[in-house]
Amino acid sequence: MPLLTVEELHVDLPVDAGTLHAVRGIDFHVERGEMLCLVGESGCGKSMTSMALMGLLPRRARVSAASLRFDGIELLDLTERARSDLRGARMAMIFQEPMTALNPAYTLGNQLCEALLRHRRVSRREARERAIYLLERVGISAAAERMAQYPHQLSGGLRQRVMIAMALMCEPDLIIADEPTTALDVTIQAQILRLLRDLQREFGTAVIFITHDLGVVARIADRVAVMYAGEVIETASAEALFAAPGHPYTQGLLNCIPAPGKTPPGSRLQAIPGVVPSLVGELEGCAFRNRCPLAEAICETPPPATHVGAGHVARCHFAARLADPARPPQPEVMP
Amino acid sequence: MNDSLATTPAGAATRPAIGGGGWPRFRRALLAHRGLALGAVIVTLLVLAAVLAPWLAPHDPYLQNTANRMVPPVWHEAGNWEHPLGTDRLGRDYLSRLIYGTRISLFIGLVAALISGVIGSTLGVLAGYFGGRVDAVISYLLTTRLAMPVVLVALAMASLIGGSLITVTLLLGLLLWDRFAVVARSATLQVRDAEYVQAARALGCPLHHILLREVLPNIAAALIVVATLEVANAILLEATLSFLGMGVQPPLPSWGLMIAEGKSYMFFQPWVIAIPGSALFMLVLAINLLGDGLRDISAPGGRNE
Amino acid sequence: MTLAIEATQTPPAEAAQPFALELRGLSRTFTLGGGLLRRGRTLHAVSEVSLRVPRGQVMGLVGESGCGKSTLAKMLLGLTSPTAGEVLIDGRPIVGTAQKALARHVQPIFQDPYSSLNPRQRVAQIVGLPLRIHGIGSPREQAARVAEMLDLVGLPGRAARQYPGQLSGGQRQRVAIARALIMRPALVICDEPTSALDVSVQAQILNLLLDLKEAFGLTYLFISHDLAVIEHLADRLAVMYLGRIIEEGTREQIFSAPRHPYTRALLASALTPEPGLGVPDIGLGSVQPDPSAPPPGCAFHPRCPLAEPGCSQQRPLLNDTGGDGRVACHLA
Repeated sequence: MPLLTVEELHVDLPVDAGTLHAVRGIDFHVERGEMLCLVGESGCGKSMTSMALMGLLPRRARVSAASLRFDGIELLDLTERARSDLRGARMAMIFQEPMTALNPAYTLGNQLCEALLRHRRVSRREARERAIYLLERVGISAAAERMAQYPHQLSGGLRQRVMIAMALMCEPDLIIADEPTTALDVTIQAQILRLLRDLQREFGTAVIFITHDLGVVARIADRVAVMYAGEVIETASAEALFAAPGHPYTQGLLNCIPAPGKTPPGSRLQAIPGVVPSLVGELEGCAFRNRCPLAEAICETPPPATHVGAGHVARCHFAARLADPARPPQPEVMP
Repeated sequence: MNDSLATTPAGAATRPAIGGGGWPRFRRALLAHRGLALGAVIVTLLVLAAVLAPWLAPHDPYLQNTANRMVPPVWHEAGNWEHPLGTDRLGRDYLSRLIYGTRISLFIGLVAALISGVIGSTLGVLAGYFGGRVDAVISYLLTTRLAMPVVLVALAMASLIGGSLITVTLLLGLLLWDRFAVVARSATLQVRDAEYVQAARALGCPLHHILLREVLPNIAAALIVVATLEVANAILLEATLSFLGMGVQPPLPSWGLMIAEGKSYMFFQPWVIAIPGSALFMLVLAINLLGDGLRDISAPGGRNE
Repeated sequence: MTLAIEATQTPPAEAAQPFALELRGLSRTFTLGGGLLRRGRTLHAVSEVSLRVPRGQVMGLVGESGCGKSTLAKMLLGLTSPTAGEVLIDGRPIVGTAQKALARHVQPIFQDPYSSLNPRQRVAQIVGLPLRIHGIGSPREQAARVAEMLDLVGLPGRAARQYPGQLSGGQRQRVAIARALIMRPALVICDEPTSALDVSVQAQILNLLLDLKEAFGLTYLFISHDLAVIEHLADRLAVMYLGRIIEEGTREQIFSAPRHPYTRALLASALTPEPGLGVPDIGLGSVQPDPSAPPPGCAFHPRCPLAEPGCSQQRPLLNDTGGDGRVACHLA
């Protein structure tokens, strides 16, 4: 049984112009101990999805789902209080900007121990020992002295290490990491990603890693779910996704990035023309069809979830054709 | 270059306007807008009354009639429709004086806020934009100004120069710039390093262009809110000074003066101070509602999304 | 070919300058935390940077946040004055040049298209501003230039009447590009122009920048932290670390044979979309550099996997590598 199963998740937000359908009926699951990358561009609903899972959406947002099942528990049936207990103890979150997630008025020690003391029957000393142990594990030297420091005394990279330690305090089953390295420099990003990947494997924690960076996805993901306009349009193992994307959007994204050895320097990059459709109001059919090089009349009907390989599903009318490495479809060359 | 089909109207699609806050914020916004509407209606009515005073007022506000002193308002059993709000101790029509009083209150409020707005915004923008020594000097001025109690200084100065409409207006204008300066300074600090200001500097735009065209329009919303609050503040202070005899001088129909003139009658003819008092309360409340509403609707903006 | 050689041999003052941009020992310090009475600490944001950018080329500038690349950009634009050294544009020093005159030669494109456009002005006003400030053409000619420029950057004509808030991120960056290029500057300082954009839009903007470079013969100083973008765009590349250039050379040199350990770490930490490779161990410790208190000797030595005792004693000079490059490392 997967650790987390999401079925038909919708998130709607009232806005001035009507209702913004930020997440439009998505299905996915997370296995125990796996790294699932949720990838997509800004406004695709990936952060809204994570907030819905954590129960941290703004109150005006409306969430509905056929099922949000976490380790056999139906999250939507829980009281706010039970949800909050679960959130601290078994699900943790790492945010993009650790400075906004850490309370500037408390020491690191205080903040690290707080969740553990609240959710587990441990003594203050045990909590402190675990905090120091984890700070050392995330590569922070002089951990005992750091416990008395305040967040502003740390650099961005160190703060994100502290956030990871904090997320691991209660040994959660699931960590949701929302663009945790986007604000960091590349060298620090590589270090943090490596750390997160190593600890995740060691502790057997499942991670939903939200990012827009396909380079990051390729290097850390076990499985990938690609989101576009509030929908999951493709799920696959990382290898399958990068070898044979089953959706023209995924293919377009991969072609956009200059890749050493593949795109000659100074040559034109393939771009995805156009912009994402507005999610205010109803959207019929395939949301990508106005930018898709393969679009045909059939795309005005909702694309079926097509299995194109083991655990590889793409929501496209042409998915089977697209993902077949023997016959890669050639979209017309863009001007 | 034709890969750029990025021509569909976007905006909402690429950056959905998702702000936190939830229901309380929404409700607040709704109430704020209602307050804004109410404030705007009352202020508009009072401005109309001030402008149309010669046509609206049933009598000459200065015309004394000692035979008709202290006539009570129409709802009183001794009242009559000749003087709907009665007359004062010199027999002048109270409604007419009240209507003409709107002119004085609004004049002083607007002109004083204008003067202090120009002074405060200029100082604040300069301090915020240049920082460093300019900021240090202006901040020193500001601290000095904040250390002076407005009412006492205004009283002292008015008693020195002699109170009059112009004196009071100028005094208040010269005293109430502190909030403008504080707000303009902090708003400018935020805008100063915005890349559009950098871009304008890199274009070789002259300083006045940068301050007036790039900085000012982007801090104007905050200043307008301060302005409304300062109008209300100036009106109240004028009433205070006039009440204490150091403001507008008789026979001008200032509301504060009307209250002062009526204070010896307040136990037996309470309407003499209740009427100008209520008018003052209404005007100040309406302006404050307007200001709060403006602040609420301008707060989340900035990116116009 | 012969022409180029002759040009470099003749004294630079009279001859056609081959360098669109030349920096000579450029430094800038800031005072931190100083007040009216106390003296603050000194921050060396940029130290002794010397760099030459040949005309028509793209010079990539990479480095981590706080390495001084943005301060450097501001000095080139005349927005911050250097504490030492000089900037030459087309062979002429910019010291003493009025900002307005400088503006015709060098223009910026900033990172965040959400903050680089004044939200209270329409696109036509924003793009036409340079022409108005410099008094170029009649209002009618200005409007025509604006329309032409918007068309060049791929914006529809109706965008002219819109406010930045009504445009998408990519469209806003096109507006910023149109504003920067309407006076046909020779040199454009691109300060992370695509890092705030979505991947699919980034490609559109990079293509546009390359097209415009060809069309107008522009020279770019392209600041970025995205090495894939730099490798795609840049002819030459300079790497900065704590205010100094620590390596400089052609794209091929640096990407195929980086000499400085920091450059190597930087290249190793670029995550290309190749599954199975995992996240590399780049061998830098968890110490992060503090620009206000740079370590003695080689500023990189506390993080350097190869550091030797001598590295903390003496600062390595930026020496020629023999080829067309320079590197500042005792061990290179």
